Amino acid sequence: MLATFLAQTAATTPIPDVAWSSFAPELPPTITALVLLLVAVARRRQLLVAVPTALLAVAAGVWLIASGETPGALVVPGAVAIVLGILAPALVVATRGRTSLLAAWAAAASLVAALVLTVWQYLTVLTPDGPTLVPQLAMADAIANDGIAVFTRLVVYLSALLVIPLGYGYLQDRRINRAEVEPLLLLAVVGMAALGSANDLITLFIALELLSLALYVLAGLARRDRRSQEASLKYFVTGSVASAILLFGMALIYVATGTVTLPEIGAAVGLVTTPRFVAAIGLALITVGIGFKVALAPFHLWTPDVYQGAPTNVTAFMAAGTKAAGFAAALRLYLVAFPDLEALWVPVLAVLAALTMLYGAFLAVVQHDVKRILAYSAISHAGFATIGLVANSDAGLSATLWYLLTYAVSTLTAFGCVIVLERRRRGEVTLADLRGVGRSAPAIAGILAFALLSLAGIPITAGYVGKLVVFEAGIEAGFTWLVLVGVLASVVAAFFYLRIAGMMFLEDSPEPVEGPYPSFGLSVGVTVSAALVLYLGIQPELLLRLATDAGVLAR
Amino acid sequence: MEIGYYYAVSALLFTIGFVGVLLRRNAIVLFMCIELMLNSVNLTLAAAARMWGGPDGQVFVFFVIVVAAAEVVVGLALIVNLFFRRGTLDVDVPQLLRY
Amino acid sequence: MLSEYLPILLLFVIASAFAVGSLVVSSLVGPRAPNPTKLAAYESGNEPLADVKGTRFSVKFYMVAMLFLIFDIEAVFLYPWAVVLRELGWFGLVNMTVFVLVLGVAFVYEIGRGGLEWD
Repeated sequence: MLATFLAQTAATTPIPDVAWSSFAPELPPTITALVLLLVAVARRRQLLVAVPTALLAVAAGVWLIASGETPGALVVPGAVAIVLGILAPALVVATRGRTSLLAAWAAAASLVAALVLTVWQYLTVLTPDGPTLVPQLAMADAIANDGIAVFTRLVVYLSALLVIPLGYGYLQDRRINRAEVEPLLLLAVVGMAALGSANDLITLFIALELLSLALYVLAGLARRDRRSQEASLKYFVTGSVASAILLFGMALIYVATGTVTLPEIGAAVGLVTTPRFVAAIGLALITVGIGFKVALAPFHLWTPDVYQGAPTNVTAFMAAGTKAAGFAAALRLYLVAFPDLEALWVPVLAVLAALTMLYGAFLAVVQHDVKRILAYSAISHAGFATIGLVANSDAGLSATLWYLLTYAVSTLTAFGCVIVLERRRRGEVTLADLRGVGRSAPAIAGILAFALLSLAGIPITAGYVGKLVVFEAGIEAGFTWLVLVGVLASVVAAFFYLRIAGMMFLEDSPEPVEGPYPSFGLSVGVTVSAALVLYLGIQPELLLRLATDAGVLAR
Repeated sequence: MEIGYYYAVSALLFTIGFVGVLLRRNAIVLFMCIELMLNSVNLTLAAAARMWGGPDGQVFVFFVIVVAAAEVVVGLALIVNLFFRRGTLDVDVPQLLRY
Repeated sequence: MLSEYLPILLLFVIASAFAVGSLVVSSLVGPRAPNPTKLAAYESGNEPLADVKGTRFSVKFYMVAMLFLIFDIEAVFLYPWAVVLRELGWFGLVNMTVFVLVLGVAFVYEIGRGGLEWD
């Protein structure tokens, strides 16, 4: 019966057109992850993997350049493929058999390629004749290529690119550097990027699981550290329960509407024949699931434990990337699929946002471990990002996307500084350990203070511009009370962060600590991300305009 | 047969799984409860696919099955590792991550 | 439309009422006089002679189970594909080749890490 059914379906539905340009930026990280898995087991025969890969990549690049309909249409992706192909054996030779170093460089190269392809996609595919974004649907409407997708890609690839140098040094220090780290990281990145462009429930679910499964393993990377184990298990249990709840919500939506494509759901939810009751329960379950994934207030309980226990570089990536991808999916879900149920979800999410902001801000004050403090700050920031979502407008959408970018760079800088401090102390860093750091290591203390100010939202930092835009969108949509709560939470947070900065510079340390200096990768990662925080703080125009353009949805 | 029965059974299964996750402390049992939740979703989707008569629901079921298998594998790996480290499967025994 | 879901609600209510009710009634009505003989294993149930924890499965079985599961489940995609192979033509063939190649990478990795070595 299934056979005849499938045969009929295949005969009646046309074969979908695989518009490869709609997922072109995801190709380099995916392929690199696979190749790196092979390299990991190749031992001394790494060239045996690298050379065929290089030949295939160069051939694909030449074919791409030659096959464009108009001459030069596909020069950029072709050139990217050729450069990556040449890099593969060159890196193998240059790293002389040190697999983890090779993996770090290859992953970084593939992420740069992904960023280049994202920009190419934005400039030539999505805005071919000028600045107006032309959203596209591809792969039988499973993938939407629009502002949300492009912006999520930028945030996620950028965060991963910054995390790789930070993580390399950190994992070397803790002696947990394994060849699987970078492939898993790349797969998580691909999942996040796909989550930003998922336009039907199936794609959304698979992308979410791809990133979650990779992160479960990454959180437990330190296999001999019991805290890392505990973090990993907690993350796994809460994460999979959240996935199951989300999935049940999706199933109920399918029961109610009979379709899995988000725009069609949006059209069907408004119909009189659709059982609103079932759709509403589905929406509630989806909200719970999404709330778990992005850590909104009643569903955040796993966050501090997981953030504290996981290796710090993984924590940084979770904070920056998962939040961006989760909110991108939430934006698309709520704004495209459930505009007719806004009377239900807008007030609920507004209350959740208020709770989240206050909870995160107040509980950060009583913590002792620095990673835990940053975890509560992550919870609080999820609340701020939700303001743009409840604003339920194009301005709010741009504001949330923009806020996630500013939060990503700020939190990456802060976690980078934590990694450097952990290296100095050869262990975890508590609040008391920060005393006197301003004397013994002024540079790192200054950068950490700067990142904390950005998280608090003080002017000339990225965080300030982020909060400003989100609050504007909130007030425009009439959520003045929510913005006031946000301001209150910011004041509490700012007070607390300033106290930490004061501790670092004004108090003396009980005993001087002299650990090793930050390694090359750590210095580069922290400096570049701090520079980005400053750049977004004083020159936000370029990317803010991109975020504003990104408000165009492929509805 | 009325389609509502399928939904009722799957809702019950889902509830049993969810309550199990909240109450049980053995990692393997916890894990089976999560599987129960995922498979109740499969039942819902299959019934709904029959009701609506399109391929979407059945395709969804396929992907849920595969993702559930991947989750089992990752979860089992974590649990085996956990067992080696602390010699018990009780998820509540050692709590190092508190403030 | 909503009335169709009424039976589900009723079922829920009756089921939970029955479960809670029988527990409450048995705890209220039932006499309780435990003594060691009563608490002992019943009929053919014997007191365990050895610690059950001693007889564990080797972790290798778990490894094999996991690896089997992963590769076994992926085959679920091959059946529908095989059924409509002719309709899909080259498109289906190329896509399935890519899929199998990705699985092949996983397989090579598995062998390389020694996942299939028993000792």
